[in-house]
Amino acid sequence: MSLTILIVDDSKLARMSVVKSLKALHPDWTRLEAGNAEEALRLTQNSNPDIALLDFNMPGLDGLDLAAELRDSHPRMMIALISANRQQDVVARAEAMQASFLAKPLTEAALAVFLTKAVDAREKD
Amino acid sequence: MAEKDKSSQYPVLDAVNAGMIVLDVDRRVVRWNAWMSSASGRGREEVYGACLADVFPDSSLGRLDTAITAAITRGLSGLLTHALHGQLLPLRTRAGRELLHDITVSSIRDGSDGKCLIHIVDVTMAVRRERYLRDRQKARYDAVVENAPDAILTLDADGIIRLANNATQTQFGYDHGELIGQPAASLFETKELWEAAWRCILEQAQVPHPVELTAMRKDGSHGYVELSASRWKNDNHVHVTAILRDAGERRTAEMELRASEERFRASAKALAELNATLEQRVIERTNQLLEAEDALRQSQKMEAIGQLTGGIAHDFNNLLQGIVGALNMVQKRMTEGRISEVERFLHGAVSSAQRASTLTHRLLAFSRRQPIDPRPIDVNALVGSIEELVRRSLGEGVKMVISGADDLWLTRCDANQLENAILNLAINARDAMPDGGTLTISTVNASFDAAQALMRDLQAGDYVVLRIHDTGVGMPPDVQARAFDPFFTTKPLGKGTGLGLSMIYGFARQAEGAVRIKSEVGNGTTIELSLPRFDGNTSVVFSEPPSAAEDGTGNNEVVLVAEDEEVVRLLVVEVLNDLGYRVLEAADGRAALRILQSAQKIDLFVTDIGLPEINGRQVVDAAREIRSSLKVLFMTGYAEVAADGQFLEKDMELIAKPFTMDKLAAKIREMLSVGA
Amino acid sequence: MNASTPIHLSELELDALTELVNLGISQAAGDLAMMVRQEVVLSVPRVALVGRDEAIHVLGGAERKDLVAVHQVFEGDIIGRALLIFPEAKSLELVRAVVGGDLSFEDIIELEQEALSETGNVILNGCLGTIANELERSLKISLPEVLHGQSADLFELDPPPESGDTVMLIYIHFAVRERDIDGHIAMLLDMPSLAVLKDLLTAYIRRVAGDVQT
Repeated sequence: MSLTILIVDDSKLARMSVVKSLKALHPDWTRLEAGNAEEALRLTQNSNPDIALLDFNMPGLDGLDLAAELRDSHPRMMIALISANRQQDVVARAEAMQASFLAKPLTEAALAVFLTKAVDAREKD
Repeated sequence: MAEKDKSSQYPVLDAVNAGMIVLDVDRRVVRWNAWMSSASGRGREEVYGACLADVFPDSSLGRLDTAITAAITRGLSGLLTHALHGQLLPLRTRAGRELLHDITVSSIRDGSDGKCLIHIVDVTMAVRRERYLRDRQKARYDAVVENAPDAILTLDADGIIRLANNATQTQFGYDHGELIGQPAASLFETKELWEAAWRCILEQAQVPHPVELTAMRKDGSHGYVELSASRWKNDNHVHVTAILRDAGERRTAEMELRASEERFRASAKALAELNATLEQRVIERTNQLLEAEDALRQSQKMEAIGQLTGGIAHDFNNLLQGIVGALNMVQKRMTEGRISEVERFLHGAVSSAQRASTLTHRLLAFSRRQPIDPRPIDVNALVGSIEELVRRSLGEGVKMVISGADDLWLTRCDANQLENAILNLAINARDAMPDGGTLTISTVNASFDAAQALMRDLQAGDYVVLRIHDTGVGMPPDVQARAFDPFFTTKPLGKGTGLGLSMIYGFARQAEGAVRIKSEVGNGTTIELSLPRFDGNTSVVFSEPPSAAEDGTGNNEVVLVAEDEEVVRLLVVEVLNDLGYRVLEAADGRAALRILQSAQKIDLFVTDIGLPEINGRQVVDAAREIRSSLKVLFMTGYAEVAADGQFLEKDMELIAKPFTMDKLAAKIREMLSVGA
Repeated sequence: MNASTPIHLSELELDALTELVNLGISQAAGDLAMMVRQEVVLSVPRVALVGRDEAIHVLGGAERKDLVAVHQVFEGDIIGRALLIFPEAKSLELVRAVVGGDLSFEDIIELEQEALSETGNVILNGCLGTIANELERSLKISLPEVLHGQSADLFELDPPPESGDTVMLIYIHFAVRERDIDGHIAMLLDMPSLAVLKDLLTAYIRRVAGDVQT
């Protein structure tokens, strides 16, 4: 099924990298991009992405705070936090809100694993 | 950046983080690792086959060469540290900084191509850190020690000065460095004390209390210091830190005190000697002075009278005028035949004459030379009786107000002296009001508690307080302080003897009262005379029981009192009676001696020194021929003699006038209770 | 981007560089955390390419601040120096954070050089190593050396870098044991290396994001 995926990262390159992987894994999916949390929230007001990939280290609201917001408005969204910062508490907080944690640099393989999990979850609904 | 060695032939050597050089038997380089290339700036290709001297032409390699030789020829290992050699080789770090290093030279046993290994280790970090810590320690130490006001020395186990702080230089006058290497003992005058303290430090690790030593400065002058010290160990070396605190100030104060005590003792001794040999002259002078005192008192009166004369003469003139004028009128009326009007004028004349007569009487009474005769006195009445005199002496510009308290208590003193005092005070007051003013004479009853009495130098009790207040120029504090001093006067030459206030002071004290001044410049002056209340009892002066009398009753000892001044004799006799002793009196030396030469039991002889004809001392000498252990209490009015007990023999004591009855009682009791 | 820098990086190239630094510093923080067995909370690093004078100024040149730096040299396709720089006062904080415990001032001083050395080494290696890795290059990195001085001194090291004027300045901020440590990493590359870097970044972008207009 064709899902909509939201990619939030202040690094254009990082977004491009994810897009490249997505093109390879799920070319039919709809892709939404935002450069920061505010932009992401604006986008999600009128849309309902199934999956969100959030960079943790962003100026303004960081990835975890954004995840919390999205959880409220889109309770069934599958969220993954991406970060080079593999700190314990970041990982723990992510898990606390039922978000996955993916380490940077994000390999295609790691992304594929997460997306498969997301699709399975979606199909169960 | 160092030249890159292209390939690594010996990867292990190149991976080592230290310099590795291998020399062959001819001392040529056969191995040179990457560390060496980087640190020396000379690549491997450059140095292979060369001697170290060629590689480092500007370094003096003597010691290194010796070590290399020893390794190659005798298989010995050598150590060269930066501590001894500074920079052995010109090596630099990656950041281009000086690379401090240690070098070990070892022999390679059975080395096929190499015989000597040179291992170079970077110690820059450790050295820098140690230096930093040392500097910091020194800075901390210096901050305290160099700025301390006390001299602080560090000595070695032999007592030699190793460090001396700034204060030491200044205290002892040495330049920096002059003291280093000198024995600490050289700083002290009292070498034995220093030696003792030093032994104590070494044995007990400290001096238990600060030791005072006389310090000797470079210029030979002396100072006083307090030494405290402690012994400590560092790296197995014994050190002593000694702190020398300047005790100069305290010492100086002590010395000055001692010196002044010395002076006092010396002068007391001198006085005693003078006294012993000049007794007679003293006695003579005593008599002379008594006469002079009298005379002065007299002259004081005379002066007061002198002041009066102007006013009185004026008044007399008026009165005479009145008399003469009236008589003239009588003459005239008689001539005119108007006899009936004559009576009036005759009355006037008589009245004036009477007033003149009163004035004359007053003057005569005032100038009469009378001994002190204390009587119960109503101060209000007394003031009233001299009111006119006072008014006249004040003159025109000064208003007088008299304010006497109702039911004023009686007091007991000599009336003439009191009159004299009031008159003097009135004249002083008048002089303080050159532009006029008001003189107020007031009397009041007062009961002083212990505190109030203390302030007035009195015993607690009831008093009659006489105040004389003027609205004049007032007295500054320095004048107030000296006002009662004999011969102190602020009046111009010829206008005042300076004795008035001192006599009033003396009078007040003898009457067991006190006088004090309250004055402010520009705000007038009040003289306050407090005289004890007389309530009719014989033990009149005390309003509380005399504290000296502990068990109240004597054992009927007999005391002989010789005193020519009636009032003093009466008082002494009263005190003794109160204390329960039997008292015999004598008014002069002869009378006293007669009693002493009789068989009458006498336990204590209380005598004035200055008796007429035969003085007290002479009486005692004569009496002691028969009564060798006669107890004697001398009463004297002269403080110098009282200061020293040299001329007194055993069982002789002295009491100085003026004394309180308390003191007298205590003295007598003391003398009679010892060996009684 | 500083107009005075001779090297010109496009927006995407700068973005790429930033990402690389991010990765590098995150790795360094992780390694540091493992070394001290404590959490290291990292803030987002900031990257800028500046001229040498500006670098000196940013590092407190005007106030003549006393600095301490851990210095490592790297060689390979890119040649240069990396400096981990702290204000002198902060360096002891770092030592305390890393060493832990309540140590006296004396103890800290005694440990300072070694602790800074080792810590600096971990951070610089983590950072440089990761960057080199991502750029698919191997670098030979020297052992650390602790330097003290003012910023002008740190940028005048001998032998002088031939880099002309470009310094990559990274501002880092992290917290260990509730102590806030912030400082800079400065990388000085020589001229040829800057050109090489640009090429490497291009290659990296292509690898990561596919063929893109740069």
